Amino acid sequence: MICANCGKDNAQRYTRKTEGREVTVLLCPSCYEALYPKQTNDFFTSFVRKVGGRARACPACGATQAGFRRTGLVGCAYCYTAFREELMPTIRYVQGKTRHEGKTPSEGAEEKYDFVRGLVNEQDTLRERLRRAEDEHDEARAEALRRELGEIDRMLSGGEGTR
Amino acid sequence: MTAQRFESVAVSTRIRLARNFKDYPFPGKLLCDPHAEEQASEIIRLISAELKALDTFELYEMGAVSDETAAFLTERRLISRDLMKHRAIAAALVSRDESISVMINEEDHIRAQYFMHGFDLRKAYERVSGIDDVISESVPFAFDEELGYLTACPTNLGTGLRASVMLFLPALSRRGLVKQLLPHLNRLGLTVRGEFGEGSAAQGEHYQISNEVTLGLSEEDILAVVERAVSVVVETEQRERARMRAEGGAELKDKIYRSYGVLTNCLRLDDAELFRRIADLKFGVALGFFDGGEEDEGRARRMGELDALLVAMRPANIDRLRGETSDAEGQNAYRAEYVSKALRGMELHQNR
Repeated sequence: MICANCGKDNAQRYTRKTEGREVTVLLCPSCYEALYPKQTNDFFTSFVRKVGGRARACPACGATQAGFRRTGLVGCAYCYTAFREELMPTIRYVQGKTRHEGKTPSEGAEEKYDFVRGLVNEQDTLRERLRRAEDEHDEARAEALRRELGEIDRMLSGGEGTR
Repeated sequence: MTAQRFESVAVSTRIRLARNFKDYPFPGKLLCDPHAEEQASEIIRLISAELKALDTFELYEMGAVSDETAAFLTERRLISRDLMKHRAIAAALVSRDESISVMINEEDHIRAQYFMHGFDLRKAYERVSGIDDVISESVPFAFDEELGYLTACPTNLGTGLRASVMLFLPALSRRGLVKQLLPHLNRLGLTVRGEFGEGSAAQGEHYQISNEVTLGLSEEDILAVVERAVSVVVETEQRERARMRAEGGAELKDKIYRSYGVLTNCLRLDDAELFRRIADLKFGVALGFFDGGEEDEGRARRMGELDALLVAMRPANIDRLRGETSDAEGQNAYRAEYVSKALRGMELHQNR
């Protein structure tokens, strides 16, 4: 059967509901998919598919523009630097403006980050050791570890010596 | 307009902020990383540690959570349906009173939300901004001078702020007028959705209005636009309700009392019918068709009780109440009995 759209001889019969009545169309599978895409309602995804650009990857996370076109999502913060030029039309379209107004992050987070991260990782190690001490019924050791964990907890929840 | 008149229309307020760690790939990409679970676990522990200072939170690590619990949390709107798509790396922290929930590794590393009954965007923003401040003290966020807070999807860039107000619009929707409001709201950069956010249909005449634009407007500006738009919609709904009341409404009254009859007498009740019928009852309470002499305050309280019933009678919430997993048939029977009893307890007397 001849495809009513491209003329190739591999058409199939598809039955669809249009305006309340059933109609039969003769189309090849690829024309059928193009004319009746499954996700017709996701305008945003269709829109970002139109974003042009060369095939490159973000040096930080490896995300590609093809990935963005598929999902509408970037891979990491650096993607906005790597693909800025290509992303700007989309941003302008969905947001209208391209210059941030409003809140900014607090300063000094970088320094505290390493400190808190250190504490959180230490907590993890201590918890594991506590589990072992408890398994071995070493009550004295377990008690000491609980005290240490309590100390870290206090530091993390803003007690003395942290902020 | 009194606060109560607002409340019979504006059911609840919800504000969420999207934030990301500077140095980790965003969750969608993180999922493909060979060290994904390690990195995710660090993110989860860091945020949990920071939030401890604020309140007591329950931590749900989605990989260890049953489908039933996830459905329970989704029905209570404490997590999104999408969170489970990242199950291996995702978590949620929920405050005791369920007003604060922080989703970790959904589309962004952090999605913090504050939920409250009634309409108060300022208070809701203050609360969620406070959570943001605490986390931001020791987590370097992905931020760009020009684009603001960086998010996985460009639709959330800038402030990362989504302010939503849930509106009960029975008069406008019964008169087919909600559709007419849509273009006006869209022009203001606002969007109208069903109760469960993106892609969900309006159920029981509940509609959610929220800002679409997040970049180039300050938090203050966004709140002001949503606030003004909500005020206009509330006024329009109230005017339409007054018209319906003035036009006599014997037919409407009949429909509402029939719903009361069904809900207090039926033996099987599914989710969709419950929504439809409770919407009738809420509308009846708002129009003064029950308990003639009651003041606005009493009406708002009754409407709140009816709203709570809608949440408690969702499938996974029913299973939680019963302490067992049941099929739809069992849930429908339980729902009918529970609702009938609850409504009789509320003493909704007809005001013929």
